[in-house]
Amino acid sequence: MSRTSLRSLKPSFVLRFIRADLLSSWQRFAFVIVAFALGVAILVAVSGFSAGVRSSIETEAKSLLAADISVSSSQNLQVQAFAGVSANARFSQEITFASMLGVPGNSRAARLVQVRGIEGDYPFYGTPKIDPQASLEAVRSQQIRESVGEPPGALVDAILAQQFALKLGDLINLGSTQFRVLGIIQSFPGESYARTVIAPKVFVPLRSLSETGLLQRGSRVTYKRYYAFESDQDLKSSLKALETNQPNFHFEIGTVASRKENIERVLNNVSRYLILVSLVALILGALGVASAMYTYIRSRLAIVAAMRCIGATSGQVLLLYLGQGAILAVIGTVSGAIIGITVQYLLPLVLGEFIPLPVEFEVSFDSMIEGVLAGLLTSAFFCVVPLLSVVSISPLHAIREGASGQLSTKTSRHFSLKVGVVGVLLLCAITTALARSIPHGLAFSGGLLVLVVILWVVSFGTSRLIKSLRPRGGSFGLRYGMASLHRPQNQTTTLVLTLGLATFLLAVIYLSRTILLTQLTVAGSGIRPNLVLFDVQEDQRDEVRALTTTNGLTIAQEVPIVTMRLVSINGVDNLALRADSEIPQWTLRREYRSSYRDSLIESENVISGELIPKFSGNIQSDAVPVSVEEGIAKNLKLKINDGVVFDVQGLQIRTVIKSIRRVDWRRIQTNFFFLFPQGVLESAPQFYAIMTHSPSISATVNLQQGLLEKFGNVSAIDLNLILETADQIFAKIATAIKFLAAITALSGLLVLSGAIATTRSTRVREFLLLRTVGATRSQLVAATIVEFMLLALCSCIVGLGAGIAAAWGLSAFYFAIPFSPPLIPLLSIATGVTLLVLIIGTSSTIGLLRTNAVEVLRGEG
Amino acid sequence: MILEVSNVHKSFTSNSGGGNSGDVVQVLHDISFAIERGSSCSLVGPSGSGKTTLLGLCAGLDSPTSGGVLFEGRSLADLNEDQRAILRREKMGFVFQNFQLIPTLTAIENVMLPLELAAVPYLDATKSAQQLLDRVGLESRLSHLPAQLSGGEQQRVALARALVHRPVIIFADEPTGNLDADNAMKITELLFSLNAESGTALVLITHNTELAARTQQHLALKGGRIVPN
Repeated sequence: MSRTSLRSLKPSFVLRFIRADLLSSWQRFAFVIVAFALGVAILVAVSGFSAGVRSSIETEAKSLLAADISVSSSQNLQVQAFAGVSANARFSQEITFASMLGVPGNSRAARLVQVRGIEGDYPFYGTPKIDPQASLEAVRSQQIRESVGEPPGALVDAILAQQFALKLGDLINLGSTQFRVLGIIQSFPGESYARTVIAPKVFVPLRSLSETGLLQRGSRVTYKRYYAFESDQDLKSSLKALETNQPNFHFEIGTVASRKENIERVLNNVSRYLILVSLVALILGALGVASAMYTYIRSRLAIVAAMRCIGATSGQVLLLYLGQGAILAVIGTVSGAIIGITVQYLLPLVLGEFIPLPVEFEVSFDSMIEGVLAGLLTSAFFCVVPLLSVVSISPLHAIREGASGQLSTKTSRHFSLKVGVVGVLLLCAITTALARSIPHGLAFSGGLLVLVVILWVVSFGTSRLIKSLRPRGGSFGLRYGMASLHRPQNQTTTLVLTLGLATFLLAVIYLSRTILLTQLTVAGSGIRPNLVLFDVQEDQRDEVRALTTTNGLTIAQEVPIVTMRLVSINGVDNLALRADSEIPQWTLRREYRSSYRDSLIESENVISGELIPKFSGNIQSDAVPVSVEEGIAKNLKLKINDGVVFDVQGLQIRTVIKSIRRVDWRRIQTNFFFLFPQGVLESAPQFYAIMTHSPSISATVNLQQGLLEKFGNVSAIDLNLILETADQIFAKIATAIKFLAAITALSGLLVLSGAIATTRSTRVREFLLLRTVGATRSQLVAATIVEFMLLALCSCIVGLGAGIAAAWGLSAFYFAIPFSPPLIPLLSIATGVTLLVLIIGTSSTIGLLRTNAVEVLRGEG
Repeated sequence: MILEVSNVHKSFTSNSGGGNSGDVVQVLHDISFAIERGSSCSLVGPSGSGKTTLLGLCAGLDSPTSGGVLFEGRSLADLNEDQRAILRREKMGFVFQNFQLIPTLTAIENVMLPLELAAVPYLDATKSAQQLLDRVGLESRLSHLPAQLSGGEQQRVALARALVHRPVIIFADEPTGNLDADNAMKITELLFSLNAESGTALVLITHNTELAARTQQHLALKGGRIVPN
């Protein structure tokens, strides 16, 4: 392309030409630009929402913990544990544990709750929403038992109040004590939705806990202190002091930074997923733009040829059309960004519950720029590819009438390959940048490319197959409709690609939900345990066992649990290990709950070394052979024969890693990071988890009531409740994903409308000719229906097929559960997509039948 | 001499249709002729005789399989595609049977197009275009789009466009082929009077024998060869 010739074009001429050309053909681009803008909108909205959450985390970080530091331990800590903490610090105490809650007068009301006895000014940061607000102070300051016989006050989560129809002033049972509901918690700083759904909070005065009888020795009670400091200096010095005391007193330290890190990790995963899904919508729109641009260039063949004849160079012509592409891309991207900001305002309404912070709406310029750049790059690529064919339009087209219907491209395979490579690299770059992760970006790009290739192969194959079949029988409508799929200028590939991608997304979203729920159902079906009893003390075992069997439940497994802390690895003590930035801090700070047995259970298998079933050596002199779970081994950099010392409630036990296990944590079973052999921990203080199978809801309720009356410390976790919770959580997340899928499907339909709009003049001419030579309206309608029916079927079959394959892959390789696709919902998706395609396709084409032939001929002239 | 065509052959390889793939179709055989500055020449012959192919070769729209085309003494084969485009922009004008106006540009904008492509200042381009449109009798139709003009008017716009940059030669491919008799006559008059006024050479493809008779030089093509009239 000659630079001189490009320079010779004056910008004013270029702009005038582009304006005139675009104004004359804006209708053909309207649909695809809307589709593309929707893609950009979703990208900007999701990215902006994530940025808003990040911004809230930054500005409201302290409300994530509701304090500057939290200290938690399974033991009531001595004062010395807090030596060195600033005397100016404000602090609150809390004792928390899981327990069953009952409602007097309602024999069927029993639910696992998280009991939190509090004292002091906690929460120090963030604003809890409690109805009435004053009740928090009443419980915290314990000003409730003014008169003898008046039960202590409690604050209950709204979800609990709703379930048991609790009102202010109602009574609840915790252990052997009754509490009066003084307030209902709507939200509490730093509390997540999922945790609240599984075990709702009940705040009670700290001192009242002793009366419940639930603080028994060995119970899984957590003692907490929350600190708030006057200055950063106080915070730093106090944190340092606590870290020094930590190895001697065994407690966990929670900081705002560590809480932030956890939330950001989850947020990154969710936003990455949503952003990548929204990228599909963007690419669909871009495909539509490319298709419209290709058809547009084809319609401009004579103009371009005439311009070449009168002296326009190929570079000049390319510039004039690239300019049009650029303007369309800018219009689509900028309007998409504006719509995106509006959608971003709505997202907190859907996803807000999952974020333990109030998310304020704010315009994130970074996200806008990110979305706009992704939009511009994607559209630039998808526009440039069809526009490049302008260069190859020969001026001979101006004088050769017969050639005007064909776009002769001189693009070689080598050139096409280059364009393909650039496209793939661009896709990888955009996905990687948006996902902020090379593996995720590449995996997504790879998956998308595979799907696109499959869709392309199917559309191409279908087109070829129909062409080779050339049915001679059947009606005119059937033959003509089928022929539409392979005739020159057909839209088969574009439509199958876009509609197939949209169908695939809808199917995968639906099937993922089904798989997740099936997985939980499988775990709880048949004779597998569906009710887990936690915190059963040694002296309660026999009675709990008896109560369980009396109520008709069968006991599947009794698992002893011993709590312990990590002291050192290969001679390097815990404090020194914390200096290693590659070891996650939580793995060193946490309290490990371990078990002992002589064999593996079905949710685990040894992947390295050998499981030692029994230890017969001397615990004082010999290292105990233990088994470690694969993930924690990786985190702690543990290998076979590494030495690990544990502090088992005051007694140090030297162990050696003899096997590494792979554990399927998704199974509802008691799994452990460290597994000891028999003959070591039997005499250590321990409690039990009893896995039971309940044949009916009434048996479960009866057992829960029995436990509530006699063993308030024992928590009964109902698998059905987890199933319901998972379904509720998934339903809410699915709302957001369904929204994205709907937008994607809408994009596909807009692209369909766009494709029909871009081929309108060709269809008009064809219909006119056919009517002139005697085709009836019904024949033309039949031909249209056959064409769009075949397109829709092709897209649905491939989209659903790929969706089922992806879901099967998830089931087989990730969840390891049998998968049978639910036929009726999938058929509903197929029917829905087919009907929409038929309605849009036929209604817009049938409109052409009303066109006045004379009017068209005049317009064509 | 403005245009010299020497021993030109042109063949195409057929790769579609009912014939065998790879068949060579010989379109032009050993064509030689020359056009003088300011002269007029008609190319006549039945459909498929190679007239349009020959016009394309003369205008540098296509290249001969063998032989040479010299334009003002320069071989078109020595120029690349963009150089040939610039040559057309500066030295050649085109009139097509189907007018080939840009439907989105007004009459005056269509006429200005060759000047705009050559970066002639806007006011100068407007003035030149306006003068020519006055000359072809369309002074009241400057702002009309092609669709708002009749066939004859469209062809007059095309004629103005072909002359606006003062070319040394005009190639006209069946310029009256799509017009009624009255309009065809008007266009013919205009074409020849402008040819005479501006001293521009004219190469005309036509089936119209009356039109051909008005040119100074006649070339009859049959089966890709020049045959005696």
